[in-house]
Amino acid sequence: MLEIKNLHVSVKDKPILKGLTLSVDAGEVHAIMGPNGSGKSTLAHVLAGREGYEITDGSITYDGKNLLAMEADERARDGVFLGFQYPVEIPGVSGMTFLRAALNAVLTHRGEKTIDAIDFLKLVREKAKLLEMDDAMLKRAVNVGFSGGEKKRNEMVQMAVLDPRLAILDETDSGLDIDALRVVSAGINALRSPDRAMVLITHYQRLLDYVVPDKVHVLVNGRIQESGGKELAEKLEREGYAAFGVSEAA
Amino acid sequence: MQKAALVKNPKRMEGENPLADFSALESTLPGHDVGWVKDLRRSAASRFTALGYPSQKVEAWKYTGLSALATQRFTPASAGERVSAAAVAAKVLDGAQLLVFEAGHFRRDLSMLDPVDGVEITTLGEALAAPPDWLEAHMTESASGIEADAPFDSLNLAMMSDGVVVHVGEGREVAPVIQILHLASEAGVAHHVRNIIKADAGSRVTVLESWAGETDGAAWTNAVTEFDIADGAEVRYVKAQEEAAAAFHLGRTKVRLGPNARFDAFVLSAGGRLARSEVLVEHAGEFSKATVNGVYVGHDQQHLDQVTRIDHAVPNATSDQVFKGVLSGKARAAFQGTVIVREDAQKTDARQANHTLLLSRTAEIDTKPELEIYADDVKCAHGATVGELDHVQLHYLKSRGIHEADARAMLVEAFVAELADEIAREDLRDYVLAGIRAAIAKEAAE
Repeated sequence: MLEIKNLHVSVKDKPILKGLTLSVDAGEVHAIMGPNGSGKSTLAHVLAGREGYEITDGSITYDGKNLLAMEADERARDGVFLGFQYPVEIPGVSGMTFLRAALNAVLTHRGEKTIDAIDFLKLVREKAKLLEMDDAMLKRAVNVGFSGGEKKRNEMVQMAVLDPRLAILDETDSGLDIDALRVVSAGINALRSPDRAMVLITHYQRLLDYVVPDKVHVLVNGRIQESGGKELAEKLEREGYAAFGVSEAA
Repeated sequence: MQKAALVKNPKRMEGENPLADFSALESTLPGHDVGWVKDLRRSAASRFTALGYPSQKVEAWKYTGLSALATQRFTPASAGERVSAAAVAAKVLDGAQLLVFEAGHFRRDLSMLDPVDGVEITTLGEALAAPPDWLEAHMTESASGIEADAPFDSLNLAMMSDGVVVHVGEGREVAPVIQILHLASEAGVAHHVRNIIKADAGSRVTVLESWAGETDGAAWTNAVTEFDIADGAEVRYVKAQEEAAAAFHLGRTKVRLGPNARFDAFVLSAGGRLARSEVLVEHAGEFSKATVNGVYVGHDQQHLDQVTRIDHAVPNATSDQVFKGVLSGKARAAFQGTVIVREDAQKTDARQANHTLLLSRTAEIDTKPELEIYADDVKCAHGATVGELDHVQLHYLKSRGIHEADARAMLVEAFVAELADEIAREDLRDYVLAGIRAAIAKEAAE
């Protein structure tokens, strides 16, 4: 479903990704682990189509299409979802209005009927329940006044409502206490499906105790240095990234 | 002396004479057989003649260039039945006490008025046929207070063709909104409309002033609305200026607040090629409170000016103003806001803010928030910001599949609609939001 080949990306002329290659099939959950500054978030943003990243070489193919030729909103309508590390606050825009507009854009793109306000409310309630989130919060301005954990849950509610085929979750576990981590993980697990691919980008292994990945990749210095199964994450947890020439202050 | 007369006055601008038809028309205008009305009109006419169109050298008109208006000949609008029922219906607030005007003239057939105990709602034309004493006192005093830099107030007084007169008796309340709906229906004409609202002690009233109309060419609206708000009375006011694209609109709202009186205003400025909305508030009574908020949405080559002057003449009064705008294309806007705190006005609490979003490199805002403080124990704050859309927010919306144009409209609406949310009445709030959305949609379609 997702084929990244020899991806080189620079930010303000500084190379960040230096030949990243990755292949993710439908139904799979991949974890990309790496230390700070390894290029994890750059990868997430490039996949979601954020401006300010210069692709100097390589390709990204999504479902046989050139993903890099698509605008951020086109990608989203076509089933790509990025769970933000830092979800954005949007004062004045109600969460319900925003999410319904998003879902209707996605449904229209799929050639399906748009959803009316009543059915939408039902759908949101159901998904919010999954993430143990009070749906009243979604009536408030998007992410405004939300705690770190609430913002991350809100991302997962959005994912559940939009029903993407490729989900990239950027540090979804950061800033979560253990209860919130459990809830968010349960939400992610509930969305695992044979039709959906997921890429979890994370610094720590703890999320992977709850969401067990099919494959783990170690991203250091802009490239995948090693790939393996769940045991690779456990090894990283024990030994850190020292084996990849990275010394991290604990 | 002879020589001096030949020197061009830099503070006035040459142009067509909007009083050219005054003598011919005078005998047909409201109150023409009432001596004091006739006198007011005549002295107002000579005041305008002496002042002429102000040039941009006049501080109050610094940002409002009037040459396109001054060089065009506008004839007085005649009464007619040109507007369609659909045009009226599109702008009516459901359940309102409705007074419809077409081109400056009352359309009784389109209006809907239910009698309210202790409240008089009538037209200026009718009121001036047999004017009550209070109206004479009010108009005479008001006329004497017209400033030298407000020539169009004088022009209005000379030429006023009609308007609304409301007198809310002591302690009375008008539950529905009184809507004054004005529709332009003809190009090349000027409408001089004057509304006078008197709220006696402890009374409550809400007034919606709507300006709309579709004409192929330019019409000119020159409007004045006056509020006299007595002890403890509360007036809520919304002005929705949605004139036709080619229109000129000069509107003035003048408010006098007695002790403990309250005035809450919201001004939407969205229509017209050149539009100016002034709100002038005089805090004449202690503990009076005024909120004046406004939103301007300009696109294409529109020029939208907002002018406020809040005069704190007595102690312990509070005023709060926030104006927010969004400009695209080659639109220009100005905010000229003045708060005056006079020597006696101790314990004044006055706030003033102006925030503008510029959506294109060619849009322009002139912002001039101003405090003139002569008292020493006061709380005053003012500020202005100018910015563009937040790209991170825009990306976030797009990353969920929302089309760029829709995402932009959503953010723009969020920026300005926040002020509309402060309108207490839901029906009025929805009315204003619909106006804001329509204006933003025009912007997006550009």
